[in-house]
Amino acid sequence: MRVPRFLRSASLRTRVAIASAAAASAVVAVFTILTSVVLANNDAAQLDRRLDSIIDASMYPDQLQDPRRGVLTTGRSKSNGQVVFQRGLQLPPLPLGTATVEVNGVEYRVRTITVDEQGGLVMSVGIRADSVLLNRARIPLYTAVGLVTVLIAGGLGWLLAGPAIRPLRRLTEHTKRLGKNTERMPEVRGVREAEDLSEAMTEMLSRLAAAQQATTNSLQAAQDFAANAAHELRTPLTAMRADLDTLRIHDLPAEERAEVVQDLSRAQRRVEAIITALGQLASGQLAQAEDRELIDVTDMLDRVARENMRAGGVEIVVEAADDLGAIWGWPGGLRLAVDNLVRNAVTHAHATQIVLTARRQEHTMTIVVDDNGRGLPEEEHQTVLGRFSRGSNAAPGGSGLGLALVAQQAALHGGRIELSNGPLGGLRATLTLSTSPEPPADSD
Amino acid sequence: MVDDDPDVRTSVARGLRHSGFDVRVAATGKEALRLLSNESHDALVLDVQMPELDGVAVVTALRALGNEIPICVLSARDTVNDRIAGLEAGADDYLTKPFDLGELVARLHALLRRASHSDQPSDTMTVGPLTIDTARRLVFVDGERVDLTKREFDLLAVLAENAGVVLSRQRLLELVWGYDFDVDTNVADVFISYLRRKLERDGLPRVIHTVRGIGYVLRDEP
Repeated sequence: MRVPRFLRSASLRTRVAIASAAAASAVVAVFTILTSVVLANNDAAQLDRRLDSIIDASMYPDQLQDPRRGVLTTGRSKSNGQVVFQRGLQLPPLPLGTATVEVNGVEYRVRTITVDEQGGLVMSVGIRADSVLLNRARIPLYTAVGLVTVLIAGGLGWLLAGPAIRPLRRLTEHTKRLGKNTERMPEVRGVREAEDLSEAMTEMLSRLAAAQQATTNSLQAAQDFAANAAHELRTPLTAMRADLDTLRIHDLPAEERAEVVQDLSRAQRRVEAIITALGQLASGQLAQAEDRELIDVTDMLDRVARENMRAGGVEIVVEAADDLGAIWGWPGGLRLAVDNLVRNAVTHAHATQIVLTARRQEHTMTIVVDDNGRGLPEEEHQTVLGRFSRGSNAAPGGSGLGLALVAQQAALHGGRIELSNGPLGGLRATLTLSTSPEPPADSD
Repeated sequence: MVDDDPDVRTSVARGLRHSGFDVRVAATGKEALRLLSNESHDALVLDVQMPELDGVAVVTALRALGNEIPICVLSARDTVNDRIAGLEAGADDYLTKPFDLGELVARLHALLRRASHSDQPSDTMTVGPLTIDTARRLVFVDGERVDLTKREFDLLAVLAENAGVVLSRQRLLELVWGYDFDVDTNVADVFISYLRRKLERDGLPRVIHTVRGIGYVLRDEP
């Protein structure tokens, strides 16, 4: 069962947001409680102070016990501003309304009103106004509290962010341990970003591993090929060496001597054929997509037929429509493939009649080479396509690479080569090619 | 003369014929075994790399049948190592392709001479844990029988006859293979390594010692 991604694991952003929200809530909660307590205390203190003033004013209106505690009352004549009566310290003359004034270094909140007795009075009544909370003396305290709050918030954030980014740290540790004995990336769960990163890294690692494997494989193939090529070259050289030694050691009659020399030159041609075929194989391996050209298949078959009939002894018929059209490919390589098939029929199967047929289907072009030669045992139809493998009835002197070259070209052209028993009594070689203008993807 | 390649078969067989040998050729291992069972032959030149029944299989089959015909294998490997395919199975010598025809002819003559008079004294020799019964051609190490190929036995017998005496490679080639001519081969060293592997199995102490720059010696103590 697959859980939607957003449910499976939160993103790192979410986790960090949650962590910082948690830290902030903790700080706000603590601060709110503290503030509430302080404010409640402050309210109580203010109320107490008000009570003190009321008690002073109502119980002991004539005594002044504490000048800082009592209610200051100053009455002034409305007309000339003379102080008519005064209780406690004298308040300065003030306009009507409320104001804050400083008397003897203490702040008082003073309300000034008009009293209409004794010919008009202006009376100012003041009580202490210095605040409990808003006090300059408390600034350092508040600063300290603020700093501590910031520190607590930072600490909490640090603590809570730890678990939030743990998957990322785990990913880092996995990556550090990587490569010592494992190529697999252990799965990291919990944070979407870390999961994405982990998945991307796993993908990259498998891509790297695949690339490495491909390199190892092709290196192995190259080594095998080099060993095979060396063996293939050594074989005719062994024959040549034996012939040369025979000529050197023994004084042969002219007739036998001619035979040895003929064998020698055949072995020499064989070495040459192998080297040529090796070069062709290598250039097939290095074929570049941009070297492809449009090939007129009918024209190419005509040319192969003409050139192979020149030596005589074989009749080659081309059965292909003129409007067969062209396909994209490497002209030299394709020509070589068809040429090799025709030459095999002549050289190894001793064919006297060959029919080249080309047909176009929807996405493929099929070139069929039929001959009336001696054919090939059915069990060898597949094996002879391998490099350095020859048919059991092959004529001596071949490179063992001819059909391997055909197979290589078929693969390059997005198709394949198949051998079967043909209708003319000999072998039928069916070469299938892709007609797609796009170069085929690497088939090996 | 057995080789799957027609060019090599023709040329080497022709060279041997001109050198005075009566040569029969075979293209496959099967054909070679059939030829050898039908008529008697004096020596076999055998390609190692052949499709189906390869040279090693042919040597193994022949030796299993008790056929002690001298065999020279043709190896295509050019690396110098002591694992020449065929020798371990019981072949007597090897040549690396391509080879000098004169070399092959000389070695074949020597191997044929050797094969015709294999006249070692029939008695029992003992060196350390080693007991060699030349009459029955058996070798025992600490009373346990060790299977050796013919050429391995001949080499060990020569070393035992000369126990304590250092024999040069050239001398060994002469005594064991009959190569009384200058020959460029490491076949003696290859067979020494085979012998050591068989005799020193199960961690037994070394009895065949290398005397650097000179050759080999069989003795009990190091």
